[in-house]
Amino acid sequence: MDLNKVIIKNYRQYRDIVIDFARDSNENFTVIKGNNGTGKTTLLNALSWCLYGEEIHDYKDDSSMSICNNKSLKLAENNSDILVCVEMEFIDENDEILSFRRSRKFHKTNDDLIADAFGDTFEVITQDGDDFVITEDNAVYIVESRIPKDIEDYFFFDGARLSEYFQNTSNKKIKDAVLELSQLNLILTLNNNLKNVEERYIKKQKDIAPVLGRANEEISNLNSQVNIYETSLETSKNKLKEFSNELKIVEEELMKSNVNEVSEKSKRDKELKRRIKKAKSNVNSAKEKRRKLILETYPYMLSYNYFTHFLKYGESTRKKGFIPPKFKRGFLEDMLKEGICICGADLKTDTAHRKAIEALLEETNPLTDKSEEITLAIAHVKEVILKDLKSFKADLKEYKQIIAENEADLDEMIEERKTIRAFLEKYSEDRIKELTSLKTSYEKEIRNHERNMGRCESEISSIRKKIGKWKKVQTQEAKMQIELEEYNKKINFTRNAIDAAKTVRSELTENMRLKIENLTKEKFIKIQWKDDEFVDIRLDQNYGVFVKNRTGKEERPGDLSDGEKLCLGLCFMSALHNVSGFELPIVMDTPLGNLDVDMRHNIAEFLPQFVGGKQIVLLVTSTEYTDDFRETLLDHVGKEYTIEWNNSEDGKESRVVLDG
Amino acid sequence: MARAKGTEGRRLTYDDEDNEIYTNLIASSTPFKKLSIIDLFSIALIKGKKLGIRTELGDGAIGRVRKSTIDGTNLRYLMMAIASDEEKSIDVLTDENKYFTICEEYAKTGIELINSEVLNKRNKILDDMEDELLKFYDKYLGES
Repeated sequence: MDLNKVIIKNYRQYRDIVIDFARDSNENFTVIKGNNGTGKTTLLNALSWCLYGEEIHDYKDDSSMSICNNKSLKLAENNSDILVCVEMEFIDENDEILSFRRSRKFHKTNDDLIADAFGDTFEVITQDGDDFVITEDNAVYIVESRIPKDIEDYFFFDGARLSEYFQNTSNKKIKDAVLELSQLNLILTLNNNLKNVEERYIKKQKDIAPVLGRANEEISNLNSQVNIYETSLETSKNKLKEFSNELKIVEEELMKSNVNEVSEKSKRDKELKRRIKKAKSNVNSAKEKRRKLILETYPYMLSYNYFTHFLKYGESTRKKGFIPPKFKRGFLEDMLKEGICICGADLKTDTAHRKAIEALLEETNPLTDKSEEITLAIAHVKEVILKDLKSFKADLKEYKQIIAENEADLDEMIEERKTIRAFLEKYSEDRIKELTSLKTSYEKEIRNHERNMGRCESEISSIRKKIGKWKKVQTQEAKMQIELEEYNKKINFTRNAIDAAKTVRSELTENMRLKIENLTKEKFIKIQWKDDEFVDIRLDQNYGVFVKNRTGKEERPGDLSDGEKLCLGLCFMSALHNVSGFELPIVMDTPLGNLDVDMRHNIAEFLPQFVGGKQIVLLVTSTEYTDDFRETLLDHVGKEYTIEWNNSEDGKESRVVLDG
Repeated sequence: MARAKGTEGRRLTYDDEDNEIYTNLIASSTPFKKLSIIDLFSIALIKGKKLGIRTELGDGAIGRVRKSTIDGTNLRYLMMAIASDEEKSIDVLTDENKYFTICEEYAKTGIELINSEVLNKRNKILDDMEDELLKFYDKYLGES
């Protein structure tokens, strides 16, 4: 089923647009370019809203924003209606039109927008020859039968988030999606229906022949129990295999890690860290002492000569009798000023005495007043300053030796620690703890599943014995009740059909897994941009993906680069499409956002092969859709559009304009 | 001769421009980081004396350290020795203002020299000072 046309009116920033999609089998790509914010994702939302009445992306920052275009609201007269409408027109396998049209009516009152409580409609327009039938009654059912909502994510998706696919989606969810997409769940429905038919026959049989009916009822119940145990047994077998593989990987890594060596090296690393810290502290402290010694000694050592001269001047002054002085000059001056001698003579009247003191004053040097200070200075210079200088060289030598020794040790220890760190980075103690814990947990899981398998096998064997007994009763009764033979045949046929359906489902599921594995591998290995980087892909029973690199090691998708993850996501998605029974177009929003130039080129080259003739709609930014990318893809592009954004006084509007 | 200004009882006289040099040398990452004003002044003094140039203090110079803080420190005796050498006599010690001023003028030359050395040599200053110290040590104290 191809998408032929989309008509959007008054939906968010789209007031009135029609997009025709490329449908030619050789040129089935439609490219819609638009810068961020112009409305690419809104287009995706419009499709989702049309089909299911829900939008894929929330407008979180403005959740109250109406889906009605604000320009249409502004231009509309008060008391008039505005119809928001999205129509998707498909051309089905019989070349007939199948359209889905959803609309919502709004009313403008006092410049406010009010949704019409009865204004929501969803219609399906089907073509029957030259006639077109519009129906509302079965619209939802028709959508569900052609494009079920459960598979929407696999056809309309945000390419920028594809690389998160394996991280955010559990294996169980992927497996369910595969069963949903491949329609294998239909067999499950068939099984349930057969079971109901069987129950009905048994009930009738029981009415006619209670013992036989009871026997059949018991056999049926016991078979159900066997089924439960068999499913559990199968799950445990798969899990056992899975955990055994994981255990093997963990044990190999542990063996390589050499646990004792890591423990010793970790201890040594801690010791070295402590010693390096201590040595650094010693170096810093000795350097600081050296600096202090130099700065404090410098002025005094360089003044050595001045100090020795000072001592000489002091000595000379001492010899002259100024230090210590017989009299201080100030003392004589005070006596003359006060007019009384120390002996009690009145110097104002006793002229001879006064003259003698004046003569003494004449002979006395002013230095005598500073005699204590100078005496103290001479002693300090001699006993403290010059003595301290003597220890300078020895102190300096000691500090420099400490620095040199510790620095040598530091170099050695840093070098040793570097080697140890390199070793520990490969086999960290934390990693070993993690591995040991994983090992324990896997061993526990294996034991549990082994126990469960034993229990299931024993239960199955015991139930089968009971079934055997009831079958004997059934045979004896049946012999007597010929008329019930018909029902027995029907019941046996139903049971055989159930068994067959079960086998078919199991085989198809396995085939499906192998097919998806092969398709993913074929595509992913082909698209690789680094030669021979990856050589194989494995899907386990639950669709867990493992990528084997050229060294033979299996990597999980989480270990791959963003580009590799996106590429793997595309390949896996493409493989799912290939096996799905749904012939629908794929709409991808910004699929190339995270990719580098080489990857884009590879994707452009291989994308047409990936999607195997499916109709594709790419919503891209101009940075994604480079000249190189376009050039490579051009042969497959049937139509190119550009989203033009206009923000006028009346409001915002986007138009989708066909290029060329 | 420069006039010493400022609060009575304070010496180690220099102007605001030199004060900024002292503050920067002590605060920033130089070999003189965290040194006291007295110790840095001592080094400036001997650097100026070694060069043999005294620079007038100028009108903006004020005493920066309380006299009681200087008394009893090695600097006080260093100043006495240098002033005595300058005047070839210890008589200068009777005029405290004079011998302080002699030393402050040498220190003014010295601090500007240190500042330019810091800019040119950075941490090599310390190694040069160490070499100089060892030469003096060997010359005057080596035998003892």
